[in-house]
Formats: sequence, C-alpha cells, structure tokens
Amino acid sequence: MILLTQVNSWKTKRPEKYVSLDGDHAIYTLAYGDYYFLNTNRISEIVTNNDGTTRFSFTQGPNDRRCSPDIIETNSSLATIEQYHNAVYPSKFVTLPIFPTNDITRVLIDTPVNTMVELDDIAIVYCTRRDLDLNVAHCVYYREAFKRVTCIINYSFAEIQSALANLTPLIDYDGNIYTTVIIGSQEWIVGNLRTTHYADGTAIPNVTDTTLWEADTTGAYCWYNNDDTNKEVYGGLYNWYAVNHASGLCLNQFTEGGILSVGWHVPTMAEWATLGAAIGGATIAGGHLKEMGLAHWDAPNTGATDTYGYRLMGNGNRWVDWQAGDGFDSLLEYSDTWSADAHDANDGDSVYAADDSAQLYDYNSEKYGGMAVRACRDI
Amino acid sequence: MFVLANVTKWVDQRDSTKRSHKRDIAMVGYRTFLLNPNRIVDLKDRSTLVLALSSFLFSDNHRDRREGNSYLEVNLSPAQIETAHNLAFHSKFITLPFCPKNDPTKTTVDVTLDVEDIAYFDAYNDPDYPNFCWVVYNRKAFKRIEQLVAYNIEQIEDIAETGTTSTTTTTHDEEQ
Repeated sequence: MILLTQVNSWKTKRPEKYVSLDGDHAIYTLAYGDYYFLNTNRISEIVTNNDGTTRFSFTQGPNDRRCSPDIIETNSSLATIEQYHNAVYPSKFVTLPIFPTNDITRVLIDTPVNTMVELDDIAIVYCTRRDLDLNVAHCVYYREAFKRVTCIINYSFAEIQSALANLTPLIDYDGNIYTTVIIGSQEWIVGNLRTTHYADGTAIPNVTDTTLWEADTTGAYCWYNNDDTNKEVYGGLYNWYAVNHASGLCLNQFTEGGILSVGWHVPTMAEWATLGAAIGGATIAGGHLKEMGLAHWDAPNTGATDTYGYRLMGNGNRWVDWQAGDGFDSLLEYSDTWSADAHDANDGDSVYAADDSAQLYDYNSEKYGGMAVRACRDI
Repeated sequence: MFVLANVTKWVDQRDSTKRSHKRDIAMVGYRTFLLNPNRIVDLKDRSTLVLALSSFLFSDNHRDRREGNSYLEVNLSPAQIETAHNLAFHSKFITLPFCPKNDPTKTTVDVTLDVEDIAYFDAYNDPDYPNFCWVVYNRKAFKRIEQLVAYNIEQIEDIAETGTTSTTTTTHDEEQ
C-alpha cells in the first residue's frame, strides 16, 4: 500500500511553499534522493513509458473533489506498483510520533506524541535535506475528506521503512502467516515452519510411509503422527535433506505485503549459539525460549518463561528417538529443531530443549530424521 | 467483482439517453452494463414470481458529495448482486487499452486504473466496432471521465476475474 519509489518528476497545481512554479503546473522540489513513500490508493491512470518507468495521476486528497491530481513519473514498474497496491496489512492503523507543531526549528525542543493514523489517510511521506540532518520526516495525511495535514514525525527515513515493514505479516509460499521476534542481533519466526513447498514452488513430498521416510534422501516432510491437525501448533517435521534442498526451504520462502522478505534461512549451529549467548547462555536459554504452561510441554516444563515470545514447543520428532513402528516420538518432551549444518556424512546438527530442563542442548541425528525448522535472519 | 446487469430502467440527472439507449430498450427491453457494486446503495428486492429484479441507487462518483445518485432497476436479485460484490478482483488494478480522443481508429494506449475508481462499462454503440466499450471512471473525487477502450464487456469481465482474457477480439487495425 505504501510504496517507496524514486520520483523523476512531480507536477502539481497545489500552491505549497515547497514547490516551484513551472508553467501551469508547479513542480515539487524533490526531497532527499528523490525518494518518496506514496500511498498506492491515491494512484490511477498508470501509463508505462518505453523504458519501463511509469507515470500516473496521484490525488493527494481522493475524497476531496476540489483536489486536482498531480502527475508523477517514477522509476517503479507497473508490476511493482500493482504488487504494493494488492498487499494487505494486518492493521489499518500506523502509530506515528508526530511533533505538535509543523515547525522544523522546534524538533529538538518539542516532544513528539504517538498518534495513530489510518494508513488509508496517508498520502505522502518524504524527507527534505534538513529532515535528514535532524533524523525526522514529513508526512502528509488527510483528516478524511476534511483537511490536508502536513506534519513532522520523529522517524528517520530508515525508521519509516522499518515501521511500515513491521505492519506486514510474514507469509510463506503456502500462505501460512508468521509473526517474528527480534532477539539480540537476530530475527526469528514465531512457531515452527509449516510450508509444504520449497521457495521456488516445488512441492515437498509428504511422506507418510515409514519405509519410504527412512529411505528418503531427496527431502520430505510430515506432520506429527501423520495428523495434519498438528500442523498449526507444531508445524512440519522435515528431514535434513529438505532443510538443505537446492530449491530453498527458508531462503526466499517468505513475503511481506506481497514483497519478497530477504535474508531468511535455516540457522547454523553458530547462529543457534549466538541466540543462546544473547539470552544468558545455553544453560538457561531453553527456559527463556520455551512456551509456558503444559499445553505443549509435559510437566514440569522446567524454567519456561518465554521471555521473548519465541514459543518453543515440545514438537517431538520422527525416526530420531524411536526408529521403529511409525517412528514418531517425544511429543511434549523435546523441541528437536534442525540446523543447516551437517555433522558428518550421515548426521545433521540440531538443537533441542526438554520438558525437564531450562537448557538449550546441541544434538545431532541421522539426516533422515524428522525435526522442526525455525527460520532466522540477521538484522 | 463487477456485476453484469440488464438495466431496464435508469433515471438520473445526467445524460441518461446514453445509458439506456432507446434502440436497445425498444428491441429487448433492457441494456447491458457492467456495474461496479461498490457504488450501489439502498438495494431492494423487486422480484416477482417469475423474474428476479432489483432496484437501487447508483453513484457515478461515490466520493463526490455533489454527485446525485441514479435510480436503476436491473434483472438481478439482491442475492446475485451481493455474491458479485463479495467476489474479489484478480487485482486491485485493471489495465485497459484506451483509445486516444475516444477514437476507435487510433492506436490504443494501455492505462491502468484502480478498480475502485471505475463506475461502469457500457457497450460502444457503433456496429462497426463491436469489441469496444465505454468505461466511466473517476479521477478520484475530482472528475468523472468517459473513455473508449478496445475491449468488449465480456473481455472486461474476464480480465477483472482472472487477469487475462481468452475471448478473441477484432483490433481496430483489422477493422480498418
């Protein structure tokens, strides 16, 4: 919905102070780097130029019949604009730290007030060169049809991007929605991975047969007990071959608001260690990460505080602890989760927390074992 | 989604002769429009035992407070209109081949519109150009625009629903 785009020209009939006159239209004095955040619900009549850039009409006040449209040329393609316009935000409001006066000389004196603004009402966000020096930005929004408001917000250009990105849910190839938590220098998905496709759209085989599961070396997944009602709570159990499949299990798996969310991957053992170190060391990390209560853990669920909202659960495993029968075991006891690392030719590295300990343990198991997957990325 | 409706009555303060062409009314008793249901209010069931029929008020520019509503009667039940309104568009944008200066002989220019801005589509009356139609849309609240496009109404339905059209058309070049 809010598109960050490089503007090449902007013609308007509005009489703002920050435009200079040029013929019958005024031309905006373009802000820093000519980058603007534009609300795509103001855009219409898009025409693609020969070089792939676009020009369109942009109505700052779409509900104001006296508001004539601006004409904007940008480097964004039609496909990109359409992708943003079709994106769905989980919330229709965004909280902005707005300074009480629209006076750039007072931003070092005044205290901004957090104000919830409906996303639909925002027209433009931009930074002037002076804004950049002060780490603030300008926002133009409408009090519905009534009034155009220009305000200064206590966000840098990067912080605006971050604030908008946080409004969009993380969605995997199948459309499963994930929230995320930031712990130290890493961002993690909350809950285990539930996708049934690799990032390129290739279906991951759902192998329910025990013999085939043990023999698979090309990548497979299953739900615990082959019961898909376990999907939403515990996620999938993937073998190590799926974790490291060339088509990508976590890499390029997720989108945010229709846009590829970059940097996600299956954590290495070093990254699991980084997580443990960030929350006090491996001996107590399991407790900090485990979901509290006994809904998804056996008693006593030692040390569980879920300090960061990570919701580590006793997802169990397949063909790891019990290599007979259907091979499913340790539900509510262990949270076996793969790393991207191979331990040796036959085994992959993993970590787990247990119902009777606050520790986060290193482990390794045959690559044909089924374990959960958590995606992470550096921030 | 847009709703394809046979309009038997259209009363407003605009040029309603264009909307309910007398020739069509005389021939079949209705004229077919592709309407955007986001402009419909006060939808009422006028069905009889043998015929589904609705009446409603329809706004050409729903954002313009000075815009008067039209009164329409169509051969659809309220349930059929509701079903169409609840169907999602393939995309919130739709790309249409605009005829410059509303001249069907000119080379078209692809222009992308927000579907929310479109009021309705109406077939082009020239029998030499059967695969053209009028789109009536708004430049937001600012302006009402009637534009000739090189698609027929069936093709518009296809594109709104699937993003493409499988219906073949006769381009203006071939017609020339």
